[in-house]
Amino acid sequence: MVQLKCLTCGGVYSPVLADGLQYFHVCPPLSALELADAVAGGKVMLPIDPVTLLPETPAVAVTRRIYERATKRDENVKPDGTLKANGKGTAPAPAPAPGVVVVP
Amino acid sequence: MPDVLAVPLQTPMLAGGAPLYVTGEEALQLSVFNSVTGVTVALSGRFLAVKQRDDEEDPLPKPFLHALVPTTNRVATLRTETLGEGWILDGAVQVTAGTPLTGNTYAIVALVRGAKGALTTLSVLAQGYITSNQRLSLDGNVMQAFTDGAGALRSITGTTPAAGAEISETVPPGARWELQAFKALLTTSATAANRVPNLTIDDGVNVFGGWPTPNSITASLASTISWGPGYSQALNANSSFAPASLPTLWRLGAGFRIRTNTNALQVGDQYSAIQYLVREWLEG
Repeated sequence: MVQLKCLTCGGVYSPVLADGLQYFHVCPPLSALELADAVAGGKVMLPIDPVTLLPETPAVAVTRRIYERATKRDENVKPDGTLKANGKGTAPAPAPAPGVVVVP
Repeated sequence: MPDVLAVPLQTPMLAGGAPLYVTGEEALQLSVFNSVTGVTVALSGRFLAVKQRDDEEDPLPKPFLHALVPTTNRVATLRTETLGEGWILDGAVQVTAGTPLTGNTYAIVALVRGAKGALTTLSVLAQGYITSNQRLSLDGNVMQAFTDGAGALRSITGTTPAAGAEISETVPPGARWELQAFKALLTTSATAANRVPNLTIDDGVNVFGGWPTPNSITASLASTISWGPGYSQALNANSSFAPASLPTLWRLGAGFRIRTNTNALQVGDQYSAIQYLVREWLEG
């Protein structure tokens, strides 16, 4: 089974599922850890928390809003049949262990 | 001026029981919405041409068959065919290749004016889901809505995110899902922390529900978290499954997302083996 690695988010997926249907990968929003990295890298600032009057922590921020990647990949198609967002593309990834193993 | 006007007439005996007269300016249009690979859909039937001249033989019904290979991205694929002047006696839409289930392939047959460019829909003859064994009749008055019926039961393998990242699965365009169950393996690093995975659902922007696991997951564990309807018991320490409850009958539209948001997720924590069960309807 073909596996792909998304070069934007690092996610690994199969573009065709076991039932023969296509799978359309979409990058996830940033996790609290990824948001913390982005804040540390000066890419985004977190607002002041109205409760603590300090900047929100990344763990709180991801529960209050969604932080998307600028180069997000979205394989779902537009009405003209093209990808919604190509992101940084994909690369082949090693196939996972099969779900069913026949033992002689 | 002659005493009698010579007007060509069809043979009444061959006019059929409930035929649909077309002038030649109308056409049959087949629209198919589909999510499965390898599907071919055929629109077939019988057509009785009108008798053009008095001295010609009575026309006989002739079969027609037009095949269509729909795309798999749930966007409509069209085929429009003119038949000439006469009567559509009967017809059917059927799957001639592939094995779609109910909820995978939806067909609409309409009578349109014109054959190219901007067409005007005059009437809808049939619409509904088709499978290898379930067909649509043009004279059966079948008008099944996109979201009618049991839907297609789909077991989907999701994206394995990078270490330290969360799971996110998106309902594709043209689909409506009802989430039945969601499972993921969380392998925690040696860093001490009490992780609490929450399964959340959002509409693409706003989260409108979240369901935590009842117990925290500590360091150096491999826990299979299983969200499903009807769970009420807490974690059994001797089981590899960590059950968590999930509301039933939530229908999710295109662009909605099923995600995790994990309290105290650590850099080396890894989600994998993501599998979930949905009922899917097409939504044109």
